[in-house]
Amino acid sequence: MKDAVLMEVMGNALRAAAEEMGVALVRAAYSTNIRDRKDCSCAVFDAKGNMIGQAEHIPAHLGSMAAAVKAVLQKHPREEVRPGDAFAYNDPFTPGGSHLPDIALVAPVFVDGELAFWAVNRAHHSDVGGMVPGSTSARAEEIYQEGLRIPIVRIQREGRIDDDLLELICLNVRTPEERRGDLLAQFAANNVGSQRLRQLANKYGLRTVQEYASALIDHTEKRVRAHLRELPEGSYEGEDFLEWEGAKSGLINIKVRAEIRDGTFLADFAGTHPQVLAPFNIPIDNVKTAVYYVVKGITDWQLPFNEGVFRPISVTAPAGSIVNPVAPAATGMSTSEAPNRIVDALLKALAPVVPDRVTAASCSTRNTIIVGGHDRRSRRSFIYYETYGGGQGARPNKDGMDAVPSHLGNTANAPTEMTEAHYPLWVRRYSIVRDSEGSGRFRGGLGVLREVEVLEGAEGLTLSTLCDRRKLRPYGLFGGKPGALGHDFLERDGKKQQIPGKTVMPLRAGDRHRIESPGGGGYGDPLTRDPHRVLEDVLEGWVNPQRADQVYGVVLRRVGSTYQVDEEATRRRRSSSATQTEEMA
Amino acid sequence: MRSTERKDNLDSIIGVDVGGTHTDLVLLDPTGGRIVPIKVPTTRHNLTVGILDGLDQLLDSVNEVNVSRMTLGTTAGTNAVIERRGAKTALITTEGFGDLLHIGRQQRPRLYDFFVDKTRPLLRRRDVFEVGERVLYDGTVVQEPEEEELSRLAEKLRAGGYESVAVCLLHSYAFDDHERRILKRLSEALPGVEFSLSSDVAPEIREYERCNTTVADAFIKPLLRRHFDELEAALRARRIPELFIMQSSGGLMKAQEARRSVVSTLNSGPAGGVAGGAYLAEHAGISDLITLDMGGTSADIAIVRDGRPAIRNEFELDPVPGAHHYLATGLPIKAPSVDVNPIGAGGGSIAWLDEGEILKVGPESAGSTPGPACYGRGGTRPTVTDAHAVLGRLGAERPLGGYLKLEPELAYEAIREHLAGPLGTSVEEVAQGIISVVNSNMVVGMRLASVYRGFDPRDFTLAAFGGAGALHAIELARELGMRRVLIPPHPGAVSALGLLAADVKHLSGRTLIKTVTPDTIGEIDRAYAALEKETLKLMRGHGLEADRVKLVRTAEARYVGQGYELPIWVDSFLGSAAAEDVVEAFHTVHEKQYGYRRPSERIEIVNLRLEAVGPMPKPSVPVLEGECTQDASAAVLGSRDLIVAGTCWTAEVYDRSRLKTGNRVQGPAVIEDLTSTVYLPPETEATVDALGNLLGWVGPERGGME
Repeated sequence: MKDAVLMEVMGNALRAAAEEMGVALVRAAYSTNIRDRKDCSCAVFDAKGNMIGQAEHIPAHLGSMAAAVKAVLQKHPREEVRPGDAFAYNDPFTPGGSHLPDIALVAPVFVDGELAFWAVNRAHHSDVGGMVPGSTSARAEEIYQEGLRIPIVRIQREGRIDDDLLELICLNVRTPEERRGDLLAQFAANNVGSQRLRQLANKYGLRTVQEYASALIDHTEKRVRAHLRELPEGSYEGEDFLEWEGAKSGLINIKVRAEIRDGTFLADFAGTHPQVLAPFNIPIDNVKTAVYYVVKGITDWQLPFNEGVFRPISVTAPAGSIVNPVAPAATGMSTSEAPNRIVDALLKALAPVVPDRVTAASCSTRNTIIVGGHDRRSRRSFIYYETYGGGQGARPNKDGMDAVPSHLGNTANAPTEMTEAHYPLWVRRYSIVRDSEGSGRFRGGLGVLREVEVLEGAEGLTLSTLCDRRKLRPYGLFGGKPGALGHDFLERDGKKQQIPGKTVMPLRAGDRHRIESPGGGGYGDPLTRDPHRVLEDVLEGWVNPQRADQVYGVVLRRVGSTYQVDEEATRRRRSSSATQTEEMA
Repeated sequence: MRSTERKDNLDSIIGVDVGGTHTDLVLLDPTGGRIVPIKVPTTRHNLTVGILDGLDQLLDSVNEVNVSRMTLGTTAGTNAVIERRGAKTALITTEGFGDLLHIGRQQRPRLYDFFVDKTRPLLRRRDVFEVGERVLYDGTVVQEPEEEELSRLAEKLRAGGYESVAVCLLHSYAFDDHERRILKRLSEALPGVEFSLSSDVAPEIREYERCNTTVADAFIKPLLRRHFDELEAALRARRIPELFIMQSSGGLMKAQEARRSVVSTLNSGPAGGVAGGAYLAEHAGISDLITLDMGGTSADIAIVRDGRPAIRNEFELDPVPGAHHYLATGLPIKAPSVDVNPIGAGGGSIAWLDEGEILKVGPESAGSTPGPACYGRGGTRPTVTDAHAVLGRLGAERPLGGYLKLEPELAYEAIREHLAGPLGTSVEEVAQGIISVVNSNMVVGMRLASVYRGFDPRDFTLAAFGGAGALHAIELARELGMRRVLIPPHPGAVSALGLLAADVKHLSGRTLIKTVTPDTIGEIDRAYAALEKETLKLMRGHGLEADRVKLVRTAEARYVGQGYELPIWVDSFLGSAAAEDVVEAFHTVHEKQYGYRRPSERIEIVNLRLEAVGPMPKPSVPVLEGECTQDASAAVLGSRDLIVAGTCWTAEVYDRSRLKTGNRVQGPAVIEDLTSTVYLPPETEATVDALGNLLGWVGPERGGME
């Protein structure tokens, strides 16, 4: 048996090596996306390509990180890998691929001439060529429109970076200097990881480090299996939908069967929509990201991420479906909209089995708004890019959070004052969407509203939006009602009209765009909600007093400038509502 | 003892550090050349009571002395915010933005935890009032506040019984006219109500952070003003003329001034510790250090470079535990603060087994009640302190702090039952393991905190204090590849000492977004000059004329279009500087930090900052009298069995108060004083310098960092 102290010390050291890689990457990177938004991940692996430590950055890279080293080893057997080599790739159809902006850099770590570990990082580059700045377009139909495809290439050979390859990459992108800088930061990060791993081997001996790394993986696996064994065995189905005009029904279904058996978790996506001529397709390793996220969420959020988490979990999906697309499918949105929908489909499947560990459906769309154009004031072209949170699905024991990014995303908002400083825009309103909650014993979180007016001096403007949950409301659970839909409006010359959630259209000065993001679904019958919670929501202004009565069956009495619960009237109101419901059923 | 240097001022001064459980007071008497510390319980229901109790005890214990000032470092404001015990406060903000506090930065505090919640805002939504008004980024007024609406608002605020009001309007960091009009109108209508304007408290761009800071200021202002007033009255009665308050930046401010912007006193407790450490180190000729302040429940680390503690311009209160440091999840406070990083490790951290296979320490802590098992106060779970007791680093012979007698057999029992038994190993082995694990946690935290700020710990001296810091310092330094450890005298009272040593300091800033060109440089210079004028006026109020005040202009700037700013020194702004100099200064800093420059890009200033330091008459650090001799045997109290890596050593136990300058102590050894214990492992040694500091010299690295 392994030494309990060394287990912890080694686990710390491996995680710290990955964290320190992250620090190096973020500090050395050129682009705002990596430096400020931290859209990157770092991890260390054993010689065979099992992840042994990961830094906690954003969850969206998990599944693709896990597969990165094995993808390289598949192409280049160990004997071919030399000290000082490094491999880069971004192709979605190589194992561990997601979308083209994510470039993985995979470096072997040699100890005394032996291939002992790997250091890997993955970073979202803000442009890799393609049909639009930023590379990801809602209009892309195939991958060739989305930028440069890089297969696994040996970008560093025995310590020398291949300048020809760097040049090839940089020639294909809009911001070559920034790309070069970000790529060099990725090299720097792996160097730090490699240094730390070699120090560990020096200190404890390579064999000891390797043995303990394996033991840590086994330990994590044991924990995951133990958690999974606590769950009732069986097969459970759930389904949720993405919205897309191009589909016959206007909807793309994601169907999942979760099978829990003997400490294992299988997610089978048979019956999911075929791949589409739009960037919603998700390579299967990125589907795994969503599945890992759910398993961690329903078992133990503090589980360390290493191969031990992945082993008991498997994912199958029909080839040619949107959750296992084949080339040349477009995959630009594969890290944003679709994985969140997979999460909600899985939570729906699991709700009857583990009702105390799931949430109702969340907003689960990033509500992406992009305005591009030219600003005459500053004489600069600009791209304003913003994503909005929404309501979290209600939880078994408490309300969902208001105004948060859902599941696999977690970026901060941009301050209004910064937005107005940078762009010819006037933010007229930024608030919570009242009454947008899915009602329930515990209510879903509330959505967010933002109204932006284009100022004089802006010209040549295009608005692109990519928002979902505009037709189908985020579902509630166990009698909880669905959250409110998201809405998009354009006001021009005093006339306000609703516009589609996914659109590309010209804008002009004076136009006002307004987005209202969806609320989260409710949990449990709203008629069983604690009347004082309802009162509190009314007093805070989140819920209208009429809805308190109509939806929650809570009768409020006006007392001066405030309200009180009329307990007796509420009891009567609720018992008659309950009777009505029974009669209807 | 005698003093290193004679100053004109021979009055005594007193420092008071009010912590969560204890209030530390220190009197420095320059004529007698002595430092007198005292510790009393903190009276949480009314902090003034405990402080005055301690003050009177302290004054009784010394003969007739003249005390010229008392300096207070307090967590009163921080605690009021964290416990939401402030005033009944309202917020007035721009129409359309009343939900600002509720939305915050919108991030979830923990990525994988479905059940986590965001930090609760300081105010309920119904205490927020919107006003129809709007100024755009460029100063265009698209809507003026209306008199009638303000009258109605005043009525509402009166009816609501609000004690304080925060006002934060969009773009008021640059255009404060509407905030001032609202203040004028409402303060006339609402006598006795305290006001905080965002354009005064934190005139910087980014509305949520500015707003939360302003609300926090209003929230604690009535409470702190009362507290300061009571203290000042009590001091006058004791013929102590002046009360100074420690700010989170590590600088002092007269209480009269601190009352105006109380938010700057948040976090002043840890700042005192760092300032004290820096001051002592400076006297010992050390200017680059990492301070480690480790107590019962947590450890704080901070970086001091060139004798100056690293400062950050924003910090978070009440963050969600377990949130990753990249996420903004607490309540942001835009106020200059010593950059203190908490690491979740303390003497009370509990050791436990994960699935019977991995030994973990913390984050759960036994705190001070019930405390570690060996305190004999009913704690049964093994802690870091218990491990020290088992290994002999903490002894039972002399009571801790003079009153707490340890019971090592209880420590032994707790470790046996919860850890050694299930693991099938010896209690001593597990105790050693607990120390290894907690040290490993701290090494990771210290390393990441340094590299994240661009520093390599090997270039620094480790200054350890707090009750538990000196037990771990030497081993931590060895792991981190640091060669030297400084353990000041009275390690438990360094914070209070920092209060004695600090200077008057005022950090101010404002947002001014301007591209740097020959046309704009004049405007930038005038903006600095305006800040300087205000600051110098404030310094005169402290008896500091302009010629004694050191002013430093800095700025945050970026390439136009970049989303992040970089701090630059802009002494080149002084006088009639050329724009090219500023531009060049930025290119140089950018290149140094990120390895490249963009010569074709224009440079944009975002925030102007001004630091003003007014030196205070300093306490001279008492020096030890006596012969310089290496022989420390006169300080030996006795010997004790120490267990190190499975081997039992008979080690000498020293009395810190009897060590003399030049004394040399070889590890393994334990050096005890009333408030803390120093552990010297084998192959290390410590010497006593002229100021009574212990300087630990770490032996050859054992596989430390390259």
